[in-house]
Amino acid sequence: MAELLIDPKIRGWVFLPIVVITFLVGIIRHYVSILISSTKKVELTQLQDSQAMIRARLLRENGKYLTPQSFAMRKHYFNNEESGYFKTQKRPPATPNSSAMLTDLVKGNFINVLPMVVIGGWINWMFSGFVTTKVPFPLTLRFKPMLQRGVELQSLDASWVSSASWYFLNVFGLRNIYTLVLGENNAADQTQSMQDQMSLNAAGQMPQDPKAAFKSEWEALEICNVKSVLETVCEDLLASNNEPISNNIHH
Amino acid sequence: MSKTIYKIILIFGFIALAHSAYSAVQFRTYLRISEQEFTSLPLDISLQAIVSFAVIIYSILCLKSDWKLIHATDIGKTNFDTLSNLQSFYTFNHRGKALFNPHYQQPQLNMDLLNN
Amino acid sequence: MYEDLSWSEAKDLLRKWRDDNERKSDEVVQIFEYCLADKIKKLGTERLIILEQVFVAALDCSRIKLAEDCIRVLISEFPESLRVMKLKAMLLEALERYDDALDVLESIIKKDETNAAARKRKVAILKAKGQISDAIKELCDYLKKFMSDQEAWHELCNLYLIEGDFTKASFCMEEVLLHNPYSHLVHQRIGDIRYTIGGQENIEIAKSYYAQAVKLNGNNLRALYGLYLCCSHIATSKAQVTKRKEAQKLATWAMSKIFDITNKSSKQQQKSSKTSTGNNKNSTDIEALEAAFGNLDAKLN
Repeated sequence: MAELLIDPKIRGWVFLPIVVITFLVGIIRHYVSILISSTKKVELTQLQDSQAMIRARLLRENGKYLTPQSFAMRKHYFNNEESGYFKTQKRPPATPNSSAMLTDLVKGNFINVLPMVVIGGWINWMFSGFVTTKVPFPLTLRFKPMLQRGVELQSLDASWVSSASWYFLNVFGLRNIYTLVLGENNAADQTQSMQDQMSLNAAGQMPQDPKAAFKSEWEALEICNVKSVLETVCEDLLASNNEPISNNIHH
Repeated sequence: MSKTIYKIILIFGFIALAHSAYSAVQFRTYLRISEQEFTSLPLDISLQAIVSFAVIIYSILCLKSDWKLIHATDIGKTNFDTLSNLQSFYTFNHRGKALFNPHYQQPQLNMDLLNN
Repeated sequence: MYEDLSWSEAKDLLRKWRDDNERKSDEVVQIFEYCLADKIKKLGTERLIILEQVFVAALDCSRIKLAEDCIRVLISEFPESLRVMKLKAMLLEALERYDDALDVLESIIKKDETNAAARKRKVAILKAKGQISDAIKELCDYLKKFMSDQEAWHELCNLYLIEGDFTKASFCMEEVLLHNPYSHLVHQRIGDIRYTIGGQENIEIAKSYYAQAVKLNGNNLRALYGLYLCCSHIATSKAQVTKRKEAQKLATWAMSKIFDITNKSSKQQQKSSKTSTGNNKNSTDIEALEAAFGNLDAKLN
């Protein structure tokens, strides 16, 4: 196949501007999100409930290191019919705090989706139809729709990248540069925020109802039947007596 | 002793890998000369490449590996002093006042109390 | 000894101590004064957190002036921050103006009900005043709300130990154990407390915890010695014969292990002393003994 020669002006007026635009948009997103994000106010009871849940979970997981008596004591504290924590703590079902959630949702969309659509559309309109660069390795035909969006040429080799695809490569590939410029945990990266949004939706579907959470934790603790490690540890130690004692428990 | 064996194996692996690369190039030139269409490399060449690559990886791992054991507990790093160092509960009226403050003044003894 | 550290080395050292949770207040203050005080601008993003570290260390060494310098910068940076307000309360504490400090803490809690640090400082104030039983009460109230705060459980354990209430102390330490089930030190600590309570049953539990600690870290000399003591106690008690036999076996094993470790460390020290200062056998023996039993003294702070 004959080599393509790209006009150097494409480099100056398409290739580099796309990089700069996506980069600057990321930076602006970072600062806008700092500007309009509101720290969520946590209620004391909410905090108390979550801490109790953590403690109950730890008891289930690591209760085997306690003596049976200590374990029963803690289980009693949580699960006793009359005085247990999970039985006595009555929480009103979480009110669907619609206005606050709605503003959060709108804000999230404002930061994440809007610039993506607007800038993406603008780039598509402004820089459409350019072949901008070539990846330095051969690719199979399947990569053509990914790398050559907007340039539907049958005969073009798959390693050429079109302007629209170059924009998307930048959007997804600039993460490390953002961490370099803005530090960790920045809000500039769209892929990250998209993941956040997914998990937020998943969590949002489940209403945050402490009652249900308490009930499930109560059940888990009720059926949790631990065997204390302490009874056998001495035999274990004596069994490893003859071997050179290993300081390392492999996990 | 065993290190030298692994070194020899490593060198052998590199030679084998280079040889397979060379054979592949030769195969391509042969195809070009005989004007046949390239479909795939012969099995023996690809097999040689894979096997020699595996040999190289294995010998490098054995040569250079400095495996660390996984400890269940962090031995050596924490002692009871760092574990029981509870930052939120620091109190400040302790001997540090007298030990580390260059301008520390000893509390004056109340002579009256002693005399009575 | 810290004069010739470069500022980046000093920064790394301070960060290491922060991560490892070391107190080392005097050293922190010295490093700051020798290496970092005039290069504070260079520290970049770590500047403020180092200032906070130095502030606390300065209070610990009762270097009030240095602490005031630090907090002045922090206040000018974050005039509204609750965290800085907490530091202010700590400064008042160090000056022994406890009531003023309590006022500041109360205002923090009023602003943010969920602020755990301020509530913990209130406990620390009571402790500093010597009102241990009040501190225990306050801390129990705190733990009813923040019940998975292992630092607070640990502190409650210490407070109970001061009061001599070992059963409750062991309960608190068990709570810490639930958070770090693989820490040999916590296992060993529970063993210590149970052994201190005494009684056949508790000593057997102590034996199990010491054994667990030894299993996690075979070089924990204190746990080995505790295991030996527990086992020899059981071996001479009126327990079942099989139990006594097993305890005897474990005791001899623990003792041989202790000998191994102490001999190793004494040999190492002999070697080093031979190469450096000649053969001073007496001092090396003492050093070896110190190395062996230095870990054993009860750290009831």
